[in-house]
Amino acid sequence: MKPLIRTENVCKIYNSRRPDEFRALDDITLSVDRGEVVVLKGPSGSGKTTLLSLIGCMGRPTSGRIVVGEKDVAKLSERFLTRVRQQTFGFIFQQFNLVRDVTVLENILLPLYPLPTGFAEMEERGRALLAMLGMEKKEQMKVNKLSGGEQQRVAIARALINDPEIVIADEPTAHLDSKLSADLLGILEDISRMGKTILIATHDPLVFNHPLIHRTISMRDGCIEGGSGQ
Amino acid sequence: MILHPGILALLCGTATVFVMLLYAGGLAVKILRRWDFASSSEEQLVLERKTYLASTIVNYALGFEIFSLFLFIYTVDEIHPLFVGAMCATGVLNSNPLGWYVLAVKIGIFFAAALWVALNFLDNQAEDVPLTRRKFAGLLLLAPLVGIELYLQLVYFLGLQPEVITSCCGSLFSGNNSGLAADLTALPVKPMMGAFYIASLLFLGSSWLCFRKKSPFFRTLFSLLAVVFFLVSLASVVSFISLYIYELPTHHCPFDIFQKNYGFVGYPLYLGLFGGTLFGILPGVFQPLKKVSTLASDIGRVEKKWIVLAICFTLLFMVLSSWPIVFGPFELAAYPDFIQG
Repeated sequence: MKPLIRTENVCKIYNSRRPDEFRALDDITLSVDRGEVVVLKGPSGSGKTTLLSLIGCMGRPTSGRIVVGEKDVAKLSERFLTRVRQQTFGFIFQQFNLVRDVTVLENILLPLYPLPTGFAEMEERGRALLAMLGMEKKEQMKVNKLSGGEQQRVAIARALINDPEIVIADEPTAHLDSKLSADLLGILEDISRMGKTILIATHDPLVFNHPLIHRTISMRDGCIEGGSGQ
Repeated sequence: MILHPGILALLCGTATVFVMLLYAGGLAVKILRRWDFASSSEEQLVLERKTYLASTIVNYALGFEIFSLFLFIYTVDEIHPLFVGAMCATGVLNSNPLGWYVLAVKIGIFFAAALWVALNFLDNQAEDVPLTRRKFAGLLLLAPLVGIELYLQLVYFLGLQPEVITSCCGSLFSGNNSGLAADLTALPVKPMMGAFYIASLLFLGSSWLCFRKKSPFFRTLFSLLAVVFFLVSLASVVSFISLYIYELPTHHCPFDIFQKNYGFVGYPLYLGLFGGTLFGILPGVFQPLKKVSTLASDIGRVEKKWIVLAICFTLLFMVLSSWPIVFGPFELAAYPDFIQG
């Protein structure tokens, strides 16, 4: 079976050919199968977030190939990257990145704009996700009135609203205590059971020691330790 | 200045388009200097986002420019009762020396803007946006052209003096006069009819070759024949098509046909001619872009639609121009003194 995600010799250099040139990723080759839950672990500055952002079509590598499904996303223009990103990925960020002063439901629906189908149908889908995450009574609340754990659930619902094939979570437990972190891992377990592929960047042992994780890839200084993520 | 909604719309619309093109021109300079699709830098991604937004806005702005050719004709026809001696748009165009220049520039922009819209459409089909540099370089050529149009339009409309007596189509499109209009009027009818129908047969016939053969030669030939057909048709409207529409052996005006008396037939007639020519030109113009690997299949797919559209618009023009000749009560043969050649 072909892997869902394949990176080949991916390099990412910031400020290329300038005095402050920085090589964030160096010759990264890895593959992730459909339905796998993979953790990228490593200290700050090891390149985890950069790698996730490239796989998640938020940027293009300086060199190398990134194939998602059948498409080489390293050669797509920004407009097509946006399309792939919207249709294929759901993102859970360290800072939640919710829009203050709008309601929970409105936050969840944001990745769908422009709406592919009717608004009522989208709202129904949003409500179903809130119910799954035990947040159904808070759909009309402003997100700045929610606790950290609740905000994280809203962020998860938002990541799932477009029914993505791949969920990317960047340091998802960084702002949560151990109990909320355990809750989050439980939710990720449910998402994994839905057949989603999950990529997590973390340096939290609670995450990479969790039984949910199929594989851990260690990174340091922009490289994969041991040389391969296959 | 005459405060007519059409004049205000033309001036405000063209001024808005010009401002948009100036902004896009600034971006174009940056793109020509900094665009590097192979780069993964943040600057390149920001440029890609900006170019998509800018080209979408410019696309609609140029859509107005395409439409404004017909709005201009409608407006000058609409205000003709204000001018002493003017019977149609010809009189209003004649009332100020710049009138014909405005019309010529607007026809030029009609085709230039439509070519840019087509270029932008093709660029947006490919995942690596290979035409971005070219299309923004094209905007640097279009911006001054629209600037000239705005200036000419402004001076023309500001300079319109209703009290000045103007000459109209009766004297301008007369064989006794001199100049291009008189030369077209004096063209012999029978040979012009022959040239018109032969040019249309060659143009439409070459589309059949385009569907049968994939060679770029036939697409280029199709486009060249579209240009020939356009020029022959414009001459034919003055030479004999107008005579059949007006049912008069002496009236050659190409603008009276926009009036209510003639069922506004001028609008669909010229739409057919300009649309047919435009879609006829596109396949030939974009042949060189087939060398761009990511565009070759898209151009192949789109050019078939362009050829079909060229045929449809041309048939519309042919039917409207031939209908009064074939089915109308007027017979030019009854006026042998007026048939030259």
